[in-house]
Amino acid sequence: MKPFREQNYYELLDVRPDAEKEVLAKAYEAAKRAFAGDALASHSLFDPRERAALLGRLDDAWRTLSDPALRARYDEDVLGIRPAVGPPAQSPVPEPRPMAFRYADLPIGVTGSVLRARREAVGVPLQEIARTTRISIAYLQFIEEDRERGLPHESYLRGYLAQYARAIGLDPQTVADGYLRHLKALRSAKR
Amino acid sequence: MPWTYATTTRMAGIDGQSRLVQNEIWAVGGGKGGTGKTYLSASLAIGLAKLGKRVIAIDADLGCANLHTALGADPPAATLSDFIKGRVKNLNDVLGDTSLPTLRLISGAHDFLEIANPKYTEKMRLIRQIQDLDVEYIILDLGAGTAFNSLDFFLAADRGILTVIPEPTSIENVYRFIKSAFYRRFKRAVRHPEMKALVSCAMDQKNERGIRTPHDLITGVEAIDAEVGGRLRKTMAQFSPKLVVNQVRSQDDAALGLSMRSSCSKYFGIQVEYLGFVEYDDCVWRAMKRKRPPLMEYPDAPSSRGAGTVLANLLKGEQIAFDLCVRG
Repeated sequence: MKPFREQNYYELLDVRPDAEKEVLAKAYEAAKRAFAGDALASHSLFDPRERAALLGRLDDAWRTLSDPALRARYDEDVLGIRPAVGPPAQSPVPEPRPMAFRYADLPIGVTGSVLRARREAVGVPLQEIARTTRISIAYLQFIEEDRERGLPHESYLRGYLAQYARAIGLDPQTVADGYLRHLKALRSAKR
Repeated sequence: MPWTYATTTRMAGIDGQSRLVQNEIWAVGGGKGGTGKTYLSASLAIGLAKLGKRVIAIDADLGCANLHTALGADPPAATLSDFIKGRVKNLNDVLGDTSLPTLRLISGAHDFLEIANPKYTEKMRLIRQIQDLDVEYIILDLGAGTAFNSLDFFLAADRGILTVIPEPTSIENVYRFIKSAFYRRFKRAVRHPEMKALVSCAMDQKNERGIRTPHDLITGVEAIDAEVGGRLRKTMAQFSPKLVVNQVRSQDDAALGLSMRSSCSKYFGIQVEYLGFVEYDDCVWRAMKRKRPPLMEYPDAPSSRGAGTVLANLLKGEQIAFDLCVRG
């Protein structure tokens, strides 16, 4: 067992080196939740500086491992795993986007970071969503960053959330309800 | 025997002395009061006895003993305080009976305040005699807090089990318990005064030398003596407390054990094992109110099944595996 500064990206996310992207995305979400500033599981353990360092490492891990090319390079450089040479491993066929998510696939709580992780997992850039839905990219960013002050009134927001959810293949109703609930909790926590 | 498992990596007892009897000592601690230590101790003891194992449950909560009540037994005539005060020479003479034939009980001291803090030598004598009890399993129910008593019993056990409930106070105390336990172990492992001072310094979270985690400490020790540092590293690798989440009301609560395991690895660099969780249900207090063990009164309640899983995992030497686990 190594402290987080010595852990490799897979150890940081508590996954095996052969984990599929779906598993990685789940692990990343879980880790972000477990080590967020207000998280119960790591309560009293990290001071703010260390927590920031850990969260930064988690982001690095996710950025690298969610990108097939970066991940292959990382595997080779750090773990010494060479990609198997042969036609099947080399095929650069893009993964089919998993579009139809079941409710069960949704993480326990809908939050901005959870949505972003999901969006990144399916590989849809924010700009693309802004273009197809005609929602201002600032609003989309605010949703993902949980910046409740920048967000529009709930009646507009519900529609935005539904469109955003559809764009990343999630159930619109579930996401809208979940996120608005999350927002309410955020606001009452601040008061 | 369906339950056998290797006992090769038994944690060397207090000073690593060899033992005559091959028993297993399980200690249940966890820092905060009200997190189900006594409930779990009683449930494990009863569960083992139901499997036909010879078990002794010991109330090592020297200040506030109540394990006998949780086991549905009468307060025994002789208690640990009789042994500690020397009125009884042999620990076997304070054994009390329970309603299960293979489960016996050593009740904690509940008379004098001073007994709650026995001298170190008295405590070591107690621990040695516990290790020599001729049964298969010994369950130690520890008191709340991180007093040396609890830490020493915890460290002397073959398996140290920590109970936590999904509340910040409880979680904080578990982490503090873990930290205190292995710093105490470290302190025993080093002899050099300079290193002893370093360990004492590290126990103060706001210390001036910038030691925040056990790893910082080991690095500091290694700078003084590489060999001792290596020994501490080994000590830490062997230190593997087990975790049980009690009063679970949601999936998030159940997953807490996994995140705490991850936190311990990332912060302390130690390997915690998540044994399982016990669901919150009314059966526990309904049974307790009647002074009956929940496991015997409601063997099919969710809580009893949870405790059963914890016991099974302990016997198999395994951790919990369920679909929330991203390790797959």
